Amino acid sequence: MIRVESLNNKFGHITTANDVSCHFEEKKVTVLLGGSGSGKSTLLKQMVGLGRPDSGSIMFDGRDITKLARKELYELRKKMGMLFQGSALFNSLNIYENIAFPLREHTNLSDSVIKTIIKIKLEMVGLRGVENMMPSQLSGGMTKRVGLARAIVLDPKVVFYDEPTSGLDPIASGVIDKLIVDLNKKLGVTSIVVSHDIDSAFRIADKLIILFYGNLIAEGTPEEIKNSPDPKVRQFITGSPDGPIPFTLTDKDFIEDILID
Amino acid sequence: MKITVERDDKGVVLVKIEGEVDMHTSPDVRNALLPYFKPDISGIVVDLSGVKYMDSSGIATMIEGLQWASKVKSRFVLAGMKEAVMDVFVLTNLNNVFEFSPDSEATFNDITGR
Repeated sequence: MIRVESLNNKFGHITTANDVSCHFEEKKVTVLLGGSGSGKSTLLKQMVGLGRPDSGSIMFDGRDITKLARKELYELRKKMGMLFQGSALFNSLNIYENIAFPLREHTNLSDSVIKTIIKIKLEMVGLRGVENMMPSQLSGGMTKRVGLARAIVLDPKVVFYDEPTSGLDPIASGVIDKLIVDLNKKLGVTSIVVSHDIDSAFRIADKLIILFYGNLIAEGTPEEIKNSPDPKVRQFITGSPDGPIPFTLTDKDFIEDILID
Repeated sequence: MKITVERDDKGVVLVKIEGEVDMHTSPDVRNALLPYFKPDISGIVVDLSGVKYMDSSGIATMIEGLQWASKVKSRFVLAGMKEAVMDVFVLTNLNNVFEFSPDSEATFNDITGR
């Protein structure tokens, strides 16, 4: 479905992708795991065409996203849904208009058909009845679910989730996890999830990919990752502060750094 | 997508749809169905045996058809649906709302009383 090949990207001196190659299989849930600054969100954004890498390719249905013109990208994005980290709802629009937005933007459907689609999507995320509420009146978990309803309103082939459970309580996280799995299993939606929530990742993933400062350090099934002997993988999944993954970004000596500056 | 319409003298309409019913094509399905929801039409049979894929807009269009049919008290039957399309109805809990039939011709003949 999506194949990343030899991807390289840097922001200044920070490497977000160092010769990264990986495959996101059709109709599977793949979770991109990694700490802050590991490059996972940048990779996700580049997969939907929000920013281009320095080099390498991202093949989506046989087309290289990194080389598409704006118009082609716009067309291709109709096959993609994105749940943003902060859900990115329009605060001035009610829930109905938020979910209707992609339909009005991309289709010529009648208002009555749009109304029915919105009811179907809200039922899928368990929120039918909130149509007239404003985003500010919703809890964090409800906001994510509305964001998800909007992400799937055009029946995308792939849904990208950027930190879908961040900032949610355990029950709300569990609800979002279940929705991701249900949409994947029932609708056959290919799901790509960026997360640093280990528990959630192991619950939902068919495949896990772990990034560490722009390097792909492990990929495999949850079972394979759990049994990985790699110290970096072990440190990440156990959340240990001590190990080969440093807390700071630079290797430069701290005392030397502040004295020389 | 291709739509053909057959109407008999007893006010029964057979609408045959072939291809994919998606966000781009469902407005055409809606336009094809719309003229037949009136009191002199006793039934509409939608033959979906040639439909391989239907998205949410297709489902929403069928729901609208059902609403129109109930207003004019005519039968609205979805016939010959493939399993993959039926799955979408099941998923959205709409499989108990519609009248389904395995065979459009048999249903068409049943309503016309042939």
